[in-house]
Amino acid sequence: MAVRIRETWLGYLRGAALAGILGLASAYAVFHILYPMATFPPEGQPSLLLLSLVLTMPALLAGLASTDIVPVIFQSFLGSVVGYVLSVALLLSPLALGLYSLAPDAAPGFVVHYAFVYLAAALFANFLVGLVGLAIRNYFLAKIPRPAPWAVQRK
Amino acid sequence: MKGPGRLSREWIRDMRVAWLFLLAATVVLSGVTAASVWVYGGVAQAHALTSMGLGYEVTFTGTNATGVLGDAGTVTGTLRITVVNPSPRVLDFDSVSYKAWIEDLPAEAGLTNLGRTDQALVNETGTHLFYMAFYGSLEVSPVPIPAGGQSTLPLALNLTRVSGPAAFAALQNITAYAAAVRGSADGIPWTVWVQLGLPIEGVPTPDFAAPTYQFEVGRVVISGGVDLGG
Repeated sequence: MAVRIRETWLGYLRGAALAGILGLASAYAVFHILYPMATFPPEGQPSLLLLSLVLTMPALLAGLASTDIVPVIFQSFLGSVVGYVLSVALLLSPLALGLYSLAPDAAPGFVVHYAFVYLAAALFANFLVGLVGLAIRNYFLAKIPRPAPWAVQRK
Repeated sequence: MKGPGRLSREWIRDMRVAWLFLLAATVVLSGVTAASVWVYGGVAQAHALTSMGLGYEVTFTGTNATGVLGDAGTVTGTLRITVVNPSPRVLDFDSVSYKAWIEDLPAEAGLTNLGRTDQALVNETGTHLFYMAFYGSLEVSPVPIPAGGQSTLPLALNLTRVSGPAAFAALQNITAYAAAVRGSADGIPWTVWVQLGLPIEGVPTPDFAAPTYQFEVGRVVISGGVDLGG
């Protein structure tokens, strides 16, 4: 029972950690789309190559590190929420210097207005690419020889 | 005993490689995000903290003893625009828009049929009418304003009877009126307004299809003086 509870909590923790990483990737992508010339690396227009890498690589790795399809769904959705919150925080980061580049109450709407499509794209990328990662994981797991039943009996 | 084969099988089963790569991805993402915040913060500082000081002087040459502007005279407006840039980004002087008005003493005295349009300036001393003698905008070859420093752009504007006949005639009329009423055309009040376009170095120009707000990111626009319109 204790082992099961521990595994459940570890599962949530793993999902939250993966959602955090996916959220960070989504937030950076949204920030880069909103201000490509004022992010690192600065670009005249959002770099498709950079965005593809940022959105697919963490999602693929998160899929590889996931155990089932349900956690993939969970971390994709949570990752998008985290991404939205983080991207608003990034937009408001000059507040730390006492500067208003954007009114704090306007920033959430600004992100939704200009980047909702990209947030939705990030959600689908996290989910679909995560599924690909999970499929790759399962493919490799299937190749690992399982211990024979009699080995358990002998124990 | 764990052989290398069994170890690698465990790594695959637990996907430890994926977690290692995820850790590396997190470090990289955190790095580029922090760098982006730094770049964005620097741009925000450039927009919020840049300030300008405006000095100007108007001189008349080719005047008579009482200061009345003759037909062969010249009016020279000299602007000294100093920009203070406390941000960590280098700015450039790029474009200057300017307007300069002289107080229209004849119009204030109620003389009509002057054939010109004035702008009103209301202050604690009352309502004053000003005539726009100089206006325009020009591109200047980029002069850098260092990060955490300041730079001054001197600008000389000339007005002659040939270059601006209507404005020149108005100035002749105003100086003649001042000489007749006050005894001298010296010391007629002027007011100046300047707007500067200061591109931020290292900020690329957005694509033509980019949203409007992106075009404002890489360019600090500040103004000094009072714009009376016109």
